[in-house]
Amino acid sequence: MEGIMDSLTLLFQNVILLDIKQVIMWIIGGILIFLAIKKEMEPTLLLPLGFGAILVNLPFSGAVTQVIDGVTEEGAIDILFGAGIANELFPLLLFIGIGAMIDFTPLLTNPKLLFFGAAAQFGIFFTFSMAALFGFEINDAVSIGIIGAADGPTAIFVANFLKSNYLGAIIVAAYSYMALVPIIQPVVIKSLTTKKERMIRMDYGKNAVSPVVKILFPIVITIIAGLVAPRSVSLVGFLMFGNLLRECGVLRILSESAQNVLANLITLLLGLTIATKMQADLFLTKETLIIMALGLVAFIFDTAGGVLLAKFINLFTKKKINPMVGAAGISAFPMSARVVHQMGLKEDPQNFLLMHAAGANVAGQIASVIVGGLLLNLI
Amino acid sequence: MEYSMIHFDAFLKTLPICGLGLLGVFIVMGAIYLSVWLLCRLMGKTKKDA
Repeated sequence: MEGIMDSLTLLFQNVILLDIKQVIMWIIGGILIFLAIKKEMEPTLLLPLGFGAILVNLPFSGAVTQVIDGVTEEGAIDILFGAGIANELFPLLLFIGIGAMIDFTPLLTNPKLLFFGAAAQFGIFFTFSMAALFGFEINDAVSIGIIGAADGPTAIFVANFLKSNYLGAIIVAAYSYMALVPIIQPVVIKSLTTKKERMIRMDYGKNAVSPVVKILFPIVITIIAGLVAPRSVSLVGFLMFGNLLRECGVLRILSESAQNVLANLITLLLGLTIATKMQADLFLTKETLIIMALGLVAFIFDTAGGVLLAKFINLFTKKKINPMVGAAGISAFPMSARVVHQMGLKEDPQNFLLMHAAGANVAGQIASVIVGGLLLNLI
Repeated sequence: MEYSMIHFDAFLKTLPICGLGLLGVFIVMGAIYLSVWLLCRLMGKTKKDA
């Protein structure tokens, strides 16, 4: 009888070792999976992240590196982390795919929209300052601020480069709020604009852009950004390389592979790999709650920055800009452009803002990467 | 991290970084704007197909 009891104890000892914090992480993982499947909130990231959170929060989980009886047993997720996140490889490869997906034509037909992309990064800096005010170390404060880049690969790249202690919370915040852009942005936009401003119509340019310009554009951006912020070269360069694959016209197969196979493969591994930072003792801290709150602040002030720049410009120009287009300068591509377009149609069914909003949106994509590089240079 | 205290000194230290960063991103976007303007002038825009 004693032998049977000993055997049962040996078999189920892990159940006894289960911590309440790990169970809480299972629930959080379950919530992320629910949001991914039922609410379709960024399912490509939240589902692997949610499932990964469960995998890494089992006692002595073989998915993460463990030291058992003095022997180190490497876990698969930690191996993947070392192979793709610690060396920044996964976000950069993903950027090739993202670059191949972006069409810069709406921006090139109206390059003034570049400045809305810049203005809509204000939330990054505001949140960085707030994070420092709340006592985060400077590298963590920058990593928290970069949630406002509204761009997963940039957030991962910067937070990992700065060896932030809060990578898991930062990534969850970044992707969750990106998925909540349709809820966050309309509230901020309506609070800062009048109905008359939201009904402003904007003209469209009549000419298309030369294919040569579309080919030279990614090369020129890489050179400019690289000269100003050398640490942004990998981020900007990989994004623009993807775009060059798209625009050159002779590498359709590579462009399609980048947009589909490469992007999907990296995305699949990314969420699962980041989950190693969602172990209970790393994630369930008071700092995580503050980071989630600051992430929301970042998105709010990003939106406000773009809107307020447009309103400021309208004080001096006869041809008015619809301030909602400024809000689309946030890098949540293409969701923010769609949100602004829908809001425009709601106010005036004949007001089509999509191309202007898309132009500002892709400008935001460029600006967010540049801000990431600039911050790495300035710290 | 002592989150219970407000770290005003640390906050003040971030302000020059924020100022430079914001200025920097506007300057870079301005340089890109000029480049696009120049490219379009040199290469010309194609007319929309009829």
